[in-house]
Amino acid sequence: MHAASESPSTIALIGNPNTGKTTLFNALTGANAKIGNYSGVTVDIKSGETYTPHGKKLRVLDLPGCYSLRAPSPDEQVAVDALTGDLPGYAKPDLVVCVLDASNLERHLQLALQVIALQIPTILALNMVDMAEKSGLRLDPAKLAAELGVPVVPMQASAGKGIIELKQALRFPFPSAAHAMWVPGTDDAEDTRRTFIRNLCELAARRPDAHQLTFADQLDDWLLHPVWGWVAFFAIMFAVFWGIFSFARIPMGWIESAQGVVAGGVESLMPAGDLRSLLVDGVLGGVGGVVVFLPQIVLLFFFIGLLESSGYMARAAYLMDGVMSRAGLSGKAFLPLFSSYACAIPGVMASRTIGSAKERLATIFIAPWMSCSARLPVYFLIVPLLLHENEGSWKQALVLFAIYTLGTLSAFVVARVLRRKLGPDHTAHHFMLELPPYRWPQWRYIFRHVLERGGSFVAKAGTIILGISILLWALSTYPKADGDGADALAASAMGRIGAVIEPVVRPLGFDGRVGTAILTSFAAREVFNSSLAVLFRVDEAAGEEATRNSLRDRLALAKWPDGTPLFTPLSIISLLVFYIYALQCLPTSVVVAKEAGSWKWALGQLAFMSGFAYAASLGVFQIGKLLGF
Amino acid sequence: MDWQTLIAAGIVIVTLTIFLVRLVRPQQRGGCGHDCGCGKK
Repeated sequence: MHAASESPSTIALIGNPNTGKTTLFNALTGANAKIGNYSGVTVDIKSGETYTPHGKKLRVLDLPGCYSLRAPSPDEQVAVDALTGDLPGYAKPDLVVCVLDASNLERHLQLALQVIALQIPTILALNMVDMAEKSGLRLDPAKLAAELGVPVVPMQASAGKGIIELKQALRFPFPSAAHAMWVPGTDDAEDTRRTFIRNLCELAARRPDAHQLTFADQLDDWLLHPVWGWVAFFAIMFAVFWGIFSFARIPMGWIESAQGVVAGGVESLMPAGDLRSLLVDGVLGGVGGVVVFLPQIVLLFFFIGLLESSGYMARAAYLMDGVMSRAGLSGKAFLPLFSSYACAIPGVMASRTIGSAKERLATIFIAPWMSCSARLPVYFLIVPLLLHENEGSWKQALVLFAIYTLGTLSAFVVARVLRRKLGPDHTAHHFMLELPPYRWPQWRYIFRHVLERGGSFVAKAGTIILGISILLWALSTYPKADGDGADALAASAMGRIGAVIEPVVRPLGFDGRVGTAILTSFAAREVFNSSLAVLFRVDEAAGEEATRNSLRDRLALAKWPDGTPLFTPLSIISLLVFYIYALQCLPTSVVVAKEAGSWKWALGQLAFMSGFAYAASLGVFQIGKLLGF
Repeated sequence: MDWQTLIAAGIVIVTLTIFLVRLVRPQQRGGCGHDCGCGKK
């Protein structure tokens, strides 16, 4: 027997964007790939395994969503190549499961007919039939199957309904390829297809005679309104930030207390010495300075999941389309840029959905200015220094909102300049946005996603941040010198680095310790907190009591050698501005080089963003000083 | 050198070695290198 004959048969999931392909993929394979109630979530092929009712193993491919097989964008081309067997590393699929949104059959059947015409055995998965029936659509899957000559399985993948029926349809031998009777072999194939679909829908997907204004339509009248839509958008975003600051306070207090108890325990069990200092100041201080913000990270991803899953994000994309066009970008850039608020890496990768190469490059270039979640620990540490929590969470939320707005608006300005420099496209690219129905959030997926992101954050803190904290502690401890904490730190390697850096960062309002923390965070932004925790473990003006306080309290007590406070409102704003603009993420640069096809772009982006961050921070501090702040 | 200094120095050396090994080790398949949600790990 040939080895090839033992390899599992391949089935490919294809369909228009946002039809639930990834939800079906997860249900079939037991995977936990990211899903969302908006188009373009999948930009790469995902592969998994499932079994037929007879126990035969099948390889399942989840292809990026596409509207037609005449693919204009890189991600759609991937789907087409996968179907035709032209994609390296993937065999031509033995069966295609074409996933259709039952509510939008007229539009989605266009792609289905093109797939069937390829003469590959095909099954139609009629997904989200519950929503279609609620809207009054009367579906007849049996009629649909008879007219198209392929099996049709009605289902609701998100609730696991219809999965067994689909698996039964996957049993061997696969159904034979249907004859595409609607393709007459003439130039007007598209018109013939359209007429065929219209007639088919009259038979098998009948709409109620009178158009009913649904609750979703009424809601859209408000949420997509040119004025009220923006009011709702800003209100929702503000509520998210306020929620993050308000709800996270209690669990943050628990983490800080636990950290204090462990540090106190270590100090009472061990005599003073290097190992105790390493454990308390290096490990607990460094890792704790990042982990304490876990509640905020978890809440942010929970709110993002809620907005994505409910269908609101597509409405936000619709609103943003006008703003994006002024920046020389189309609405297609919204999803990559929105993804970058979580992490710039999937955002840069999601730019594959953009058909225009020039627009894609501009999107990749500005993506890191969308404030990613790695910046949050820095913001959450610094913002309460500017506004104490007694002043109210809403004020802190307002500052965070301003930070996000500043980053985003600056990115749009740069995109506009860059698009002008790159010149116009030679071919026209159109943006089509499908507004998904409002859905009740899929709690299971939201919580799994939040758990995954929270776990990833803790894992990073427990590995990379832990390692860097240990090394930072060594750099701030050795070589040793006689004297108190401040003198010992000045004599250490880190103290000497700080002395070299200080003249460069002093015009921004920072001392050598803050400068060193910025330098160490070039690999990953969160290291800034760990560095500050190690560097500010002993404050020259404070006694033993202060070293037990939280990092924020110690920063508030920090002073210049002349006794003036180190962190003034102006220097804090200068620091915030620096972190809004600086590109301090090595993995992002690696992915940008790969996606843009050149290291020139990645290095240019790094140089531009670092230079801009420095200049902006310098401008803020110096102008602020001139104005008497 | 007291025992605390010795153990602390050992931990620092082991950490540094792990970082250096990770730096020079050939990279595995593409992706972001983290669980960032891009589908690759």
